[in-house]
Amino acid sequence: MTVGIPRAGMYYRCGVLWENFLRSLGEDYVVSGETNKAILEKGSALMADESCLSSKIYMGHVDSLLDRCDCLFVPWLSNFGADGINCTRFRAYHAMISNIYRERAPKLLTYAIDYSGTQDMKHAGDEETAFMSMAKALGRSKKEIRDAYRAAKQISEEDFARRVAQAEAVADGEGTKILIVGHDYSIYDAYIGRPIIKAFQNFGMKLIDANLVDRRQAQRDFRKLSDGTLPWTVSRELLGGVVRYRDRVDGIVLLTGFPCGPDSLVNEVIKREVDDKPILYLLQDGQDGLAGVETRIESFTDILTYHGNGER
Amino acid sequence: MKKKKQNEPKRNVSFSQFGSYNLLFEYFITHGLEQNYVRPPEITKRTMELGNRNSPDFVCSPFKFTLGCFLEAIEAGADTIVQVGGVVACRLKYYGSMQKKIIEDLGYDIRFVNLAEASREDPRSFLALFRKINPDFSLVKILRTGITVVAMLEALDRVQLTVSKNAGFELRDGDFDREFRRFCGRLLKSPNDPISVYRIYRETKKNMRAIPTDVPEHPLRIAVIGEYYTVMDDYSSHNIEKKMAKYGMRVERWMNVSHTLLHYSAPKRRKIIRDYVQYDMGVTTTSNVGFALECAKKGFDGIIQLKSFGCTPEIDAMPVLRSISSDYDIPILFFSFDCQNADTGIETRLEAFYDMIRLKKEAQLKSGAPERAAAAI
Repeated sequence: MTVGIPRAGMYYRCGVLWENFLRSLGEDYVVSGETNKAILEKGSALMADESCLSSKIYMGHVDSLLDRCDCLFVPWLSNFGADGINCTRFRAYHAMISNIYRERAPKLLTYAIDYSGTQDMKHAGDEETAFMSMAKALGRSKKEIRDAYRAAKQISEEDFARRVAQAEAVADGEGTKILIVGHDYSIYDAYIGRPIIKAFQNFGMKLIDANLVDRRQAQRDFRKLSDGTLPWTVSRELLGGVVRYRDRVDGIVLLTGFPCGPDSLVNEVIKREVDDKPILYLLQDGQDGLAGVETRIESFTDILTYHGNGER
Repeated sequence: MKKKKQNEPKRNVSFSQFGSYNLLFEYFITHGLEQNYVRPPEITKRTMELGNRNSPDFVCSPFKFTLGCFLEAIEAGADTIVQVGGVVACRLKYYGSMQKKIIEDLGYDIRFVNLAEASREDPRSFLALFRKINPDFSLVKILRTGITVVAMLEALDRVQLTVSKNAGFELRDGDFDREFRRFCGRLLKSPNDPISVYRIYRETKKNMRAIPTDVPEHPLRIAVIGEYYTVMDDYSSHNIEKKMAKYGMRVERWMNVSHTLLHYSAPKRRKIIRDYVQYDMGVTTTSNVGFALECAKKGFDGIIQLKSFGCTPEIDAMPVLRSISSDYDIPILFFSFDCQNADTGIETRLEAFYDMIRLKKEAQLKSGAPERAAAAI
């Protein structure tokens, strides 16, 4: 059985865990290719016009996998208990896919994360419990699943810690540094974020991803910018990242796919609370052509350079 | 005790416009917490512009509406603002925090009471918020008024349903609306006990039954579903239920405060929709899809979904609704409102939808196809 993993959405957060889990079980899996125009167009046709850019991309990836796998990997990621919730769309993908492709009825491999247990879903729970519920679908014993999960979890945590250490090293290093604040599925997406990262690098800027912070620490730090009612885990971590790095960078870039629900509010918090750094707000809506964005990036880097030289 | 009250002047508390529910809030503030209530001015174009100008760009429109209401209430003398947070898991949960920041940044010195800070699991967290409004509140009065307000909520929603269902068939224009307004006024003056509320409710029902109507043998039955605020607030939904009534549609709407807060069971709804949805879709999506499916099974003639632009949970419901639509051959009309819609476009779309379902129904009746279920009042 070949499992298809869309290279979108939570793949950028959990992909290392998923791939290592499937690999250590010896399952075949395929990850969809990098986002391109065809994928975005397909996804836009499948989703409602006013859906967010990231969900259109997600659905495009799902579509590209249909002919290449026996089942799609679509976890149901609801909440992380006291650490907050996910955007409600990550709870809806499962139902959306099964309704959009009703004729084809693709098989979906799912695990359900629900730390607070409020949804009273069968088989839902913390991550390990949730992974165990896949035992039957994968035809494995619970022990095999548990061992594979624990090994993969360790690898993914080590990988994340390594990336955090790298980000810290960049923040402590030389050069003009920019903190990029956005969902990882926007920042690392080949169609939305990576051309922007490349443009900054061409101007000699060092980039730090606000997602790369110690997540426990971020859960405490975000309260310096917001009160505790901020619901979304990822947004909390991003604000934690802003708190962690803001004094060591020269400017902040907000990268958002239109019209992201959480970002519509969280970007406003950053704009109102961080008044000592230049902020560039890049709202991506999937249009072709980077020229306009590049001009804005260039003038932003100019501002940062003048600031750095003590000029006003 | 009395002395202390004289020292501390009463606070002027306000809440945003939200359908007819303001009167419950007013009753609770004046009777339960014994403070003054500042009625927010009716929503106008200015409210909307005020909210729009001070809100983040593409936040959902209820944020802009409620912010506009708060700012106008402050102009009218409010010094304490209450925002809900609720149990939902969408942007609404963060409205309060963000709006507090915006109002403070505008330079207003007000007290902001954010119900999102309280949690249903811990009733004491609500007391902390009540204390912010009135430090010497009386728990007895709060509980007593609370019971009355719950009774009012039930009565209000039931009467509202009756109006939605029947207003399309009244012989004299505005009869139901007039009776509804009178009912709201009487609730506000009601003595503080559920029995008086029930008496008002019964009399109103009786009066409404006496309103002359002309219900056709096979009325068009339309289910209205959608996002929490827009579906319940007439200004946000461009008075769509009244427009539908003009076409003689029988409007059925499950989504209201009493149903979602007091009578909603997620496991039950999930069971109903399990052929379409295997994993809970969250917020109001599951309940809306469930109601749409129930109505489709009953042989309704159409479904109308109302939402604000970019409302994530309602967008998520759309593929599922399309499946239901094709399985049960029931047309669906999707409306997405933002702050700048003019009425005309909405009327045109509603009219086209009406023509379509009317012709469909006529063809159905002519061919003698049995209706799936009899129209029930």
